[in-house]
Amino acid sequence: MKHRRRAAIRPGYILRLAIAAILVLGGILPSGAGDARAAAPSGVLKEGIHWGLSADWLDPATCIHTVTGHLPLYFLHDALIKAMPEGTFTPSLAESYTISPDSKVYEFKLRKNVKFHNGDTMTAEDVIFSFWRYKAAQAKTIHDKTEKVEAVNPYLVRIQFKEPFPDFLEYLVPGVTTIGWIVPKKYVEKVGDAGFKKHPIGAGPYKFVEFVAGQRLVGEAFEQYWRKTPQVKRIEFHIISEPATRLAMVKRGEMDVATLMQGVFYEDVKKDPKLRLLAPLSPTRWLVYITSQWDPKSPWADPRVRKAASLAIDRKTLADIHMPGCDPIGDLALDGDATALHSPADSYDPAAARKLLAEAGYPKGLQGGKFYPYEGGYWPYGEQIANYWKAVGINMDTTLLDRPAWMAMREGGKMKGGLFIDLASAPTISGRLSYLFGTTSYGNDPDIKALWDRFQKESSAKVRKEILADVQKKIQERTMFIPLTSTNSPAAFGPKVKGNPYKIQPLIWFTAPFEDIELVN
Amino acid sequence: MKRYIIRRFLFGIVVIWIVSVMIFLATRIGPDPALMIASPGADEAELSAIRDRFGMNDPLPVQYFIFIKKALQADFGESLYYGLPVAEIVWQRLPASLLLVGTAQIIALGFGILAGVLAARKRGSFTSNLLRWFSFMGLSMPNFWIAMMFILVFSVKLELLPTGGYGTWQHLVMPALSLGWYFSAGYTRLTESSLLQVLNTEYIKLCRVKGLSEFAIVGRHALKNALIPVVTLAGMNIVLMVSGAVAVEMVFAWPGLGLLMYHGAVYRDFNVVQAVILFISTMMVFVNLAVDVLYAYLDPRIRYD
Repeated sequence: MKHRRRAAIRPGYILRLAIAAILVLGGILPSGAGDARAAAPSGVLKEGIHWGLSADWLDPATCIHTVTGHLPLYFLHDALIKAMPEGTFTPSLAESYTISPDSKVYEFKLRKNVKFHNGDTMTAEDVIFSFWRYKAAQAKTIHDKTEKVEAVNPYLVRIQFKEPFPDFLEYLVPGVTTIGWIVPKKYVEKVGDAGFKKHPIGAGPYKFVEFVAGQRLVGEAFEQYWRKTPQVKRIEFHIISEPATRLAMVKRGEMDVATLMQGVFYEDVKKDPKLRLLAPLSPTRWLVYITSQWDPKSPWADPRVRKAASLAIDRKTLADIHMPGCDPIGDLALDGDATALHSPADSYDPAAARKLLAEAGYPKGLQGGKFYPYEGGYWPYGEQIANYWKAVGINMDTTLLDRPAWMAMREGGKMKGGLFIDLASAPTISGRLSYLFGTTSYGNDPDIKALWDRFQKESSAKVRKEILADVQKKIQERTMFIPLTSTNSPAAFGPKVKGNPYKIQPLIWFTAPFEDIELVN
Repeated sequence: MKRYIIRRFLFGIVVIWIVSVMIFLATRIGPDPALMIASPGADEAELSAIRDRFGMNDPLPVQYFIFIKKALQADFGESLYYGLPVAEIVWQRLPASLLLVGTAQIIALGFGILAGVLAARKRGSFTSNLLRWFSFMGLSMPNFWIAMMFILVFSVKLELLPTGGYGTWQHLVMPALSLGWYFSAGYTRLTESSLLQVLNTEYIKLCRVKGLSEFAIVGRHALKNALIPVVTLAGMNIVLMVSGAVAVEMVFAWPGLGLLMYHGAVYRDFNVVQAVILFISTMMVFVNLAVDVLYAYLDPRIRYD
């Protein structure tokens, strides 16, 4: 497999290049300008965001794997490959990459003359340093699998794994790890980890200006950014927890963007002629996970009960009320995932649900055990699902937990024997399913587990696709989880922002790539 | 007096120590914080690395000993969420908190005492009733709702003040009014009842017999004594305001300690929660001590020796 970007040489290109070189050498044009025709960055963009930022996220080595954590990375740093408007695995600092037939060796050909914000040139040394320095999610898993990482030459990095690692590229995109993001070796060695967090230097479109914990992150355009010169001179992210305040600020023009406008705010933005409502899709898919299905004594062990629970839910109404603009889903895959087995959402059919329950031996309904809706702000979403179930005779003991308790119970394996609402957000269907049914999950059917084991070891793309299709088919047939709805992240835009800056949706639901943002006038 | 202050100071240290034990245990009972920041389905190695980083692998007594030893050097460890030293974040937030609380306290005291004096002196008059009604309105409405209404009126409709943030005096107006208004009712009520009591005492009657003006009687002789309970309440309120400003700080995106503590609790950032609560408790102890000393100034009859 090989991925290369090819630029066609147009007539006159060499002549223009020669003229530009003469002008640069003569000091007429500034050297290092990525595109001589690009206008200088200007203007300030202020975004009021709903989530807190951590200093750990300013450093790819310690950044959280989630999409929220990727905002500072897309802002200040750059990666070998990353999700971009062109596709999920778009070469960035790597110009191209190759994968050996046995999926044990990955080679990344680096882009030349890429500068970090301090003027250092990026080379293979920085890539190797960043790879081994990484210590966040899945670090041990990846490092343990790695035989060696070497610089074949200053612009070619070879990563050799001990065993076939066909999924490695998936580890490089948002939602999994941040191991592919590159930091300048010399600078990090000079200032140390703590110093780097205080003043990160990257190869991204914006230079670090200021970070105040819980308040703001500010950056200024890096005119030598290889991809293009950013159009906006300065971008500020202000953390404003309260949605009403964010909305008021964008109405007043104090902010240009206010994120997460849900419920009444969604309607308010829609009605305001001065504002624009943009609702980028999010990679997150909501589902009900049924841990009790592996307890043979539980009614949930019967696939008919699980199917009945799925048919009892009016997903359209659920989405309209709690997540306007989102759709019912029948599987967890994102559109465009070639390995996905798409399936339509189960229709809302309470009569069929009751019939299935009766067939399963529960004509008068059943006690379904514990049900844990997702944390805090999503309780009403979960309670509505419990009400749909109650209407067909599935009575749940709904337990509302705040975020820390929910997270701890979910990750600590303490929701065993119950049902809970979960979300899947890995970039590919294999990542999503392995999170739900992989080695660290609550349980699995033996035949699906065997397929998973084969999938992990198989290096042939064709065979992997077949196995994955088989896994998905079995999971869907047995209703091993109940898909609910897609999600989006509606935001209010003031008059200053031009066009739609959400160009990497659904994988990224913030305004990346930041270098592409344009302001009016 | 000196002995009293030393005794109170030592007592305060004991209180702070008890609080430190309680808050230390409270933040460790319940879900494992490492699970909050680990990736989904994290293995034991990843969880252990996180626990190691934040010193959660040691036995509890060892953790407590390390916590106290470092706290004495103003080192509260690293924030689990923000990834920065907690002391740095607390110091960064402190000026905003003090500014908000100080201004809100001035507003609350100024308005509360004025309304209380008028209520006591001119009982039943239109002005006193209006002021009392106004201050009680502040108490009966939740301060987050007051804050929202301020934003709607002064920011969105009239476009007079910035909606949120921190930096200029304009940013301070709405948060300080929202917080101060709420606390003013208590001062009004207390000033009124205390002043009525003092105005009926013998020494005030003597002042009247001597022919002093009403302004001099109230302003110079009665009010000073009547303010003793108000000062007590004001001392307690300063600390309550720091922690009670959470809603106001949320609405106005005001970067104070209340908001920090709230986010600390939400994200189970126990190092932050420990530091802020310990800081507030220490403030409580020393403000109370200062209030006691102030008593002696306000009422010459009070002597602690």
